[in-house]
Amino acid sequence: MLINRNRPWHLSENAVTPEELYLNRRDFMKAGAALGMMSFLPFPAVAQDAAIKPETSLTYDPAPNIYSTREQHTRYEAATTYTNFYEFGTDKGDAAEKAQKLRTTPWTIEVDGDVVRPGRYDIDDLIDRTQLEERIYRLRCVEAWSMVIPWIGIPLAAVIDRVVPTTKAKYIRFETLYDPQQMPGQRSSVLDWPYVEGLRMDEARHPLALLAVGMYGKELRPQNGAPVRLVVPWKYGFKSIKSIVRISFTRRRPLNSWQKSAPREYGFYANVNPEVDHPRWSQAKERRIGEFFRRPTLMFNGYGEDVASLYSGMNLRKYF
Amino acid sequence: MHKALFKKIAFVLLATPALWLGWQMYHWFSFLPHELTANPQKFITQYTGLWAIRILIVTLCLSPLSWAGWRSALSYRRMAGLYAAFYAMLHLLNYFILDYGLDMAVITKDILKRPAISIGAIAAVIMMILSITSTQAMMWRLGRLWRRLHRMIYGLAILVPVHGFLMVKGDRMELSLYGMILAGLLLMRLWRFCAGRYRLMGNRP
Repeated sequence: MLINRNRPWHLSENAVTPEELYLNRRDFMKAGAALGMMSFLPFPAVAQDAAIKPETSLTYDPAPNIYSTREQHTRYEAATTYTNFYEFGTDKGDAAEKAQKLRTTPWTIEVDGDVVRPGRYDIDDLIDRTQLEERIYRLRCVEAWSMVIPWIGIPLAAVIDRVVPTTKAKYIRFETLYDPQQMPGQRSSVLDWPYVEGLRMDEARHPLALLAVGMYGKELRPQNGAPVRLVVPWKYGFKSIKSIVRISFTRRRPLNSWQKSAPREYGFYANVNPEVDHPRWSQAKERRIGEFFRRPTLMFNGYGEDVASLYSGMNLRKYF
Repeated sequence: MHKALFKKIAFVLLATPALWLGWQMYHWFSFLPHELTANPQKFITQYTGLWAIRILIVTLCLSPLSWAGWRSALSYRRMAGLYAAFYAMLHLLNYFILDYGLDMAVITKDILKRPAISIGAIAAVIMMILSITSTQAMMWRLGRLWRRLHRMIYGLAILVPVHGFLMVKGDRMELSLYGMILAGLLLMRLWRFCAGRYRLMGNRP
């Protein structure tokens, strides 16, 4: 059994730059320069955009989870500014800049398909806030960079059990919010909106698969997929769909957005695999954000022991 | 007098993106806040690549501008071309050193196996040849061959945007635009060349 101890280099949450301060860092620096001699003024003197929702701390089970890695967390600042969320633009910084006013309350999730209890659920009826746990996972993007993120959420299996799919359901399909008013990136056709992702039922029920509502002890920021996102740590990041509004149980394999856009480059399974390269770049190594040189990528992103059996007998070059 | 001044201004302008990058990298290496994102190596790859192609466009605009009446346009050609090559070299150095830490096994495989990277490598070699032979002395020494050799820039106008287009994930708007501009600049030359032939054959335009 893994015993999780806090290492000396583990940042405690209070050591992290407050995010209001971070989000307004340029104003802060400008203000700081202008104030000059008056720098004795306390931080709250810096104006804050009233529309930006302040961070909310979450209550969760503090017990270290057996699936959590003990690797050093990626800096919160990096994890909240370097994101792929094409709904807000294709630049890594777009979502941090343009997603702040995303309305995440109220938030409903449509559950449909081969399921006993379909319906429109309020997020709190689907995700039991008393059951939240922290999972510190590696996240490997298909673009060959990676992070270590302390997520807060509940196992996807718990949500699945709550809505009870029928035996006909072989796959689970997720959809991101489609709202070009709020999501300016959806006004361009880089991808076929809304964003769609999916898992095989056995993958979805795997205890590693998480529905996250928070990270770093706080509620998810919009750029990270607020209010609820999927986290499947043994697959490339694009499988971990953000801001979910619909969960469907299907008999046929869903066509996920990236596969639809470039079927030669992105598959349905998208398991992290250092031996199967992306046609245009190698997947053998990755840059861990915050580290200088690349490090080797691990099979199934290091979760092989737990998930390899899901794919026994499958040709992972064919089902990439 | 004015011309010399304008040239100096152009020299500084074309250096600005590199100076900004240098300043930001200084911050990065000093662990200070910087604008290079959380993944600086990747940012630098895209930044230097985009500036190389933009300045290549500037370079190829100079001849059409001279046809249009800006007499001294051609005197900026070498400077602009060398700057395009300079940004391409930064792009290459970043790829070799900062991004892959001189991991030659991965780099060789990349160049041989991935057409997008092979095209970039060919373009880099052409840019190096053109830079080395860009001096006055080389012009004298190579004579007529020099003109022919330097027509390879038309090849660059095709290889560079193709390389960029293939390497970008997702949003290809900017690269497509650059590709179209470069295609337009090539077509202008083709048009002029054909028109010249037509006149040589004794026809009136």
